[in-house]
This record gives sequence, structure tokens and C-alpha cells, in this order.
Amino acid sequence: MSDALLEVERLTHVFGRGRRAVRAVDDVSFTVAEGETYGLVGESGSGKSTTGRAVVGLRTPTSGTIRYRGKDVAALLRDRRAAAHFRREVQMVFQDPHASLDPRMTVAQVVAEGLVIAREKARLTQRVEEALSDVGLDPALGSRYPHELSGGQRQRVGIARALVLGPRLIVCDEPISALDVSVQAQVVNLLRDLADQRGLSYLFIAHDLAMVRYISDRIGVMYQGRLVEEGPTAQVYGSPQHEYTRALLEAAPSGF
Amino acid sequence: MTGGLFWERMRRRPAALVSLVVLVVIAVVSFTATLAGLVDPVAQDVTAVNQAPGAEHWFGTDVLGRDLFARLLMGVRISLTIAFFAGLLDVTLGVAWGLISGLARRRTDGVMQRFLEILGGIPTLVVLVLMLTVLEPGLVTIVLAMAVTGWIPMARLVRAQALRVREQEFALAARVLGSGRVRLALRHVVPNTLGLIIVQSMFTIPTAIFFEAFLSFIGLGMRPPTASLGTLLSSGFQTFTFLPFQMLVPAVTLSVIMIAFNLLADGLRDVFDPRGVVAR
Amino acid sequence: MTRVLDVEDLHVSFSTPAGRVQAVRGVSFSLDAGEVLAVVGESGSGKSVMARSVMGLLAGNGRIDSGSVRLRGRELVGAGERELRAVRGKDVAMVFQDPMTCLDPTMPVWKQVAEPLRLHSSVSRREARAVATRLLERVGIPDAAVRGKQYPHQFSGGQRQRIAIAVALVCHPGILLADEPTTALDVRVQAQILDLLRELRSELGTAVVFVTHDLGVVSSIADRVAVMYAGRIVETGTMHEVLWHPQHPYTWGLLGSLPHGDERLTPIPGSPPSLLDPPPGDAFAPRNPYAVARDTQEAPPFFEVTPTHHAATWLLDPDTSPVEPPPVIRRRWEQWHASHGDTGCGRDTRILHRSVPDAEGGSDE
Repeated sequence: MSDALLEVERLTHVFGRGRRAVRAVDDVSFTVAEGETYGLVGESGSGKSTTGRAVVGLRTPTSGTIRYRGKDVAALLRDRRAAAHFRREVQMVFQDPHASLDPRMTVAQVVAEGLVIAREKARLTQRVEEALSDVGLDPALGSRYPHELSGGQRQRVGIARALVLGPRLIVCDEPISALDVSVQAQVVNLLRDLADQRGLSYLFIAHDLAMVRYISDRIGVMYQGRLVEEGPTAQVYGSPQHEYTRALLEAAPSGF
Repeated sequence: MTGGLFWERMRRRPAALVSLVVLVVIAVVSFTATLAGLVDPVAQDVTAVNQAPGAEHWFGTDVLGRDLFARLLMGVRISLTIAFFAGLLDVTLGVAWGLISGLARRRTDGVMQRFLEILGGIPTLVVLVLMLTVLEPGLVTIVLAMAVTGWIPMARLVRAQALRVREQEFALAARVLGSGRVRLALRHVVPNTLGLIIVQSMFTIPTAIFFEAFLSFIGLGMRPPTASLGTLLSSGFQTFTFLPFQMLVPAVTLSVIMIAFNLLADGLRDVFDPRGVVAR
Repeated sequence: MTRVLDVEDLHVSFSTPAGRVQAVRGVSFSLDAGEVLAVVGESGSGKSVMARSVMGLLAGNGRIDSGSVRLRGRELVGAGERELRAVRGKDVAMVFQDPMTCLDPTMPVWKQVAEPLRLHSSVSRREARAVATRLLERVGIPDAAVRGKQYPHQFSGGQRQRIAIAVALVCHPGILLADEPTTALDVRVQAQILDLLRELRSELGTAVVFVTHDLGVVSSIADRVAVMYAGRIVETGTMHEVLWHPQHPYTWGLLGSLPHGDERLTPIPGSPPSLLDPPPGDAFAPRNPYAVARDTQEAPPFFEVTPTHHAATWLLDPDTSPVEPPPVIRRRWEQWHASHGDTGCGRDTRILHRSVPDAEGGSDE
């Protein structure tokens, strides 16, 4: 593990104004090292999704800094060339396999979108086919439409889309919550394999404690916008310090 | 939506299919007949004044001996031309406004919305009267008056759809991949809104056609000797009690055209109905 | 033990634009007073459809093709709507995944809790209100006298589910059908709701059919388990038997899909089949690494493992040579045997050296 790939420093995001302002993310700081999977857990309303979106540049933080490879992300996004480079390295996988693919585009078009936007038309078809087989899909599925695929297949397409530009950090926002149990395992195995093969880093946002524990090297626990506990997985699950973490672990059905 | 799928679904909606055929036939006949000079809507024949429908003049003649069938075809052609411009305005101005407003920052969107509200609050008739102080009554004036407000419902519809689509995960994914707003609009919002756009313009058209007929009827639109459905209705109205066919014929034609467009729009709405094809 | 529910050979199908889908294909089970039966399955297993069929709550395009559902001896299949309405709420009630679908947004919550009471008995409005308020208090709505006058949208998701449970249990029905009641809830709220259900079950003696996909939830609340796949029950037994001594490869697959320490997950490759045209044999065969030739032709019957534990797999047929389950399952068996001595069928106690195909199989479809 080398130095930090991603640094989140005192990230705060406020929705609304005045008396109705909601601090969705409140002074959150953590880092993700190269090749590491950082799991971010919390219940609904904890702010974990908002954090993920801020990292990827979908939301502008109210205050705080996000640094990728030492450079301020907000500044990167203001410069066209730097933004394109950032987008190539930092990607996202979404939650809902039904809504994360444009129903009017073929699978191949969906996967190729990143390349088309980046104007990298060279060997386009080939790169799309490679991406599809890298995620365990038959490249022939490229000519199909999303509604012809199963939920698990669609999620794989979403992963292929994120991979095609060759990113280093992928933010996974609840990537398995909407899938059946056996399909969840397929996708998690795929993510793990890809991370091992390519040295990818993940910010893995989820609420399923068992799965997050399985895939993460380090864990951050969020509650009502704040990061209440953080540390290596075994430590957080084995000897939780914060009472919220303990309540969470206690509530999770065990017996396995 | 592929061509094959479109026709397959249309076949299951006979009302819409029949309407489409009727409209196409009417359009083809009226345009070719009048443009190729096969009929003459203005030729007067004082010997054959106010004749009932018969062998020589299929729909009879009017007070100046002009063939009503020819005049009707001319009227239909004018109505369909207006329909065309109404649809065009909808699709260009309405869609563009809706896309820009829906994908813009909240403040810009707010300004554009207020503008629509103000514009939409002005009765079209008032706009037209104001225009008539400067322009001559005629086809151009009518189209301009429609241009002021006719596209507003489409703009609202497209804006609503743009707002919806931009929050969908695939739109977020596109942004994360580096897509700008233009690409988002053209590659993601429009394809997922195409059905709604087509249906909405199909609904706007009968309104526009009726608008012309009404204006011409009350004398603010086309003027005789131009044969539009409205002027035909107007002159037919004057002789209604003893020569009913002179008003009935254009009235029935107007009704048929409007009903056909409405049925077609209804059917198209079902055909484009997403059940998994369009983003919701 | 009084038998409260008997379902026998239930067949349910739906008409869709593509044809008729066989959602439930011959399901039989029974329920005794006070026990919790968990029905486990993934999407397409038919578990929700089956639960709704018991209540006669199928959507317009669904129908019960054959089979019997007997509520304390009284046949519900083929019963008229009036008869079903008399039974719903009074003898059998249902709680859904999304409480907003069964709570009326325009009615104060106390009234909704009181409604079944007023429908099925002749209590006065005042008395019904008192009962409703007490019940709301019991299910954990604080300050129930005041909050009872509020509307569903003024409560959190977990509270709405509590209210829905109150509505379901106000007439003390013998049976509660719960269709994924905690799936949409956060972990801590889920634990609270499960606690509540456990308490109410022992207080009221209600039998519960708990439909879920979450094996963790099963382990915390179920007495018995039925595992469903493609419209059929493939394994059934006590919770301990099914989770710690499973015999069906699908159950193995489900358990293997869950994290156990750091070991690689062993998911089931592929996806569930379309039930438009179900195959004649075992529907799980195409995805089953342990399938035998017979599976494609003939669906296996239930084989008895213990008097309470049955699994429909040819692997239990005396003529089939025994098979070594995945390591995760083997370890569970060992724990099971450690706490039970050497009971049950002796097949799995033989350590086998036959190599088993890799359960994972790469790409799906």
C-alpha cells in the first residue's frame, strides 16, 4: 500500500438553507490508499451516498477538500483537460440495475459511452468487447438492449462501462443491494477479482455489513453525516469502539 | 423503437391506424390537387350559383359559383400547412426551451419558467389583435400568433422530462464519464422523450387548426376569396338556413381532421408507452 | 399442536403478454399454531405469489389453477369474495414490504388500526379506538393517544411498519403472512421489528409465514424453513436443520453466496429460469453443479432426511452415489454433527474423495 490515492478532508455537504438546512455530510475525513478497498457503511440518511457522489464530482461540497493524487478535485474539474483526465481515473458503479443503463441505448453503446465522450474512437468495438468479456459477459450481448438482460447482467454492464477507461479508483454506491443473493455473490467476486488483477481501489458504499466486511480492507462507519468510527476491518468488527458501531453490529442478524 | 415494432403496435390500435390513413389520404389529395391545378378554387361561374351537390360540382357551389369541392381542398391544404408550422414550432422552439430550462442551473431554470408563465398568461387572441394593428390578416399572421404561445405546453412537458431524466442513474453515469449537458440533452433526454414529443405535437395540431378556423370565421384570420376552412364556415354560415350543405361540408371536414389527429395522438401515446423501453 | 393452515399442491399462474407464467407449481406445507415458518427464495421463486394466494390477494391476471388452502379445516380456494373478506383480517392477516401500500394516506392511523375490529366485531367506536390506541402503544408508537390521530406520512418507515403490524394483528388472527416486512428497513429498525414480531407471536400465539430472501433474518426468527426455487419448495425442515445440515444443492448455493470469513464466495452461476414454459425435470438442474442425468427428465420427489426434514433432490436417492458438498457446507455439517451426535441420514458422514465440479463456472448466461 503506497501513499494515499484519495484524501477526503473535512468534507461537509449541506442541503437546503437557513432553518431547513440539513447537514447530509458533516466534517468527514478519510483516505483511501492505492490498491485498497475502503468500505463505507451506514444506514439510510447517514450521508454515505452523498459522500460517494462528492468524491466523483457529482456534487460540489459546501466545504472541505477532496484530493485525488494530491490535487484538489474541485480545481481539477474546472480545467477541461484535467477534468477529462480525472474522469478517466475515477469512476462509479451505481445501485439500481434497472435505472443505471439508458434504456434507449444498446449494451455496446452504454459501455462505449466513456470512450466516445473522451473521443477515443480507436479500436472502439474491440475495447468494448474486451470490457464485456472482462466482466464475464458474452460480447455478443452488445447488440441487446438493457431490458433484455437480467439484473445481474445489467450490473456487470455498469461495471464494464466504468472499467472501459481504465480507472484507478471506483466508487461503488450500493452496487449489490438491488440484486438477488446469489447474484450479489457473483458481482462481489467479480469486483474482487478485478481489484486483484488490476490493482484497483474501491470506495465501497453499502449497508450490508457482512458483504462490506468481506470485501473491505478498511471500514468507515457513518451516522447522521458524521464518520463515527474508522479502522482496519477486523478491528472495527472485532472490537468496535463507538456505541453506534456496536449497536449496528448487534442488530445485524448473526448465526453465521 | 424499431420500425417493425412501431407498426406491430399500431396494427393493434385500429382507430389510430385508420386516422393515420385518413389524414395521409386527405393530405395527399388536397396538396396534389391544388398544387397541380387539378381543381380551381377561385373560378367563378355566375351561371351555377348556390348549387346543391351534384354530378358536376361534387359538393355544390357557393354564392359566386365557385366549386365547393375545390375550395374545400384548398381549405384543407391551408389547415394542414398551419398544422405543419404548429408542429414545427413545437418541436423546435418548445423542445429546445424545455431542454435548456430542464438541464440548466436552478436560477436559469427559474427565469425561463417565469418567462413561460408570463407568456402563457397572455391570451392568444390578444396577441393576435395586437399583431393585426401592424400586420395584414393572413396565414403569416396566424402562424406568428401561434408562435408566441403555442409551443409552451411542449416546453413544459420536455422540461419536466429533462428534470426527471437528469436524476436517473444513467444520466449521472454519463456525467461521471464526462458528459456535458449538450450530450445529455441530445443523447439521453431526447431519445427517452421522443414518444412524448411526438404525441404532444399531435395534440397541438388540432388546436392550431381550430384556431385558424375560428379566427377566419370571426374575420380576424384569412379573408375571402382565400378558401380556408374558416372562411368557408363563415360564408356557409350566412346561407345556413336554406343552403345547409355550404356550412355542413367544411364543418364536417374540420371535425374529421381534428378527430383524426386526436385519435392518432391517443394511439401514438399507447404505441410509445414504455413498459421497459423508455426511462421513467 | 393445532394445525392452523394446510396448503396442498397449490398451483398459481399469471397471464402476461408473453403467455401464461407458472409462478407456483405444486407447493404443499402446513403451519401449526404459534410457529414461524420462513419461506426463503430469490426473485422468481414464487414465494410472494404463494403468500398472496393464501389470502386470495392475487392481481387481476393471476389465478389459482388447482390445489387447496385450508384454514383450520375451511377451504379457501374457490371461496367467494364475501367469504374471503370475512376471513381476511380476522383469521389471517398480511403485512407487506412497503407499509405505504396498505396504509391509507388519508386516514388517521388509529382509525386504520380500528377498522378491522369494526368490520369483524360489533364493538363501539369508542371501544375500538381504545383498543387501537393500546395496540399502537404496544407496538412501540410512543404517546399513542396523540400520535394515533396523525397520518402515515408523519411517521418513519419503521414506525409505519409497526402500525401495519398493529392493523394486521388487532383482531388476533391465527395466522400472519409477512411478505418481506423488513427488507426495506435499516438494520437496527429491522432488529426491532423482528423483536416485536417475536414478542407478539408468543403473546398472541399467532402463527407466522415469513417470506424473505435474507437467511440472516431466517436464522433470527424462524422455527421452520421452506426453501423455494422456480415455483416449488426444494427443501423444508427446522431452521437448524436447513441452515446447518442442508441437503439440497440450491440451499448450498444460497449459503455459499454469503460471506464466511475470508473465503471466496461460491455463488450459483446463471439466473433463475423463465416460468413461461417450465422444464419437465428439476428446474434447478441447468445451474446445478451436482445435477445428475435424471434431473433433466424427472423432477425429484421429496426424500426424508429426518421426520421433520425433507429435500427434493436426487442426491438423496439411495441409488445415487453420495457427493461431497462445498467446503462451506461441509463445515456446517461438521458443526451440526458436533452438536447432535451422529443422527440424520448417514450419507454425509462418509468422507468422499470424488472430485466435485467447480461450483462457480465463470460467466453467467
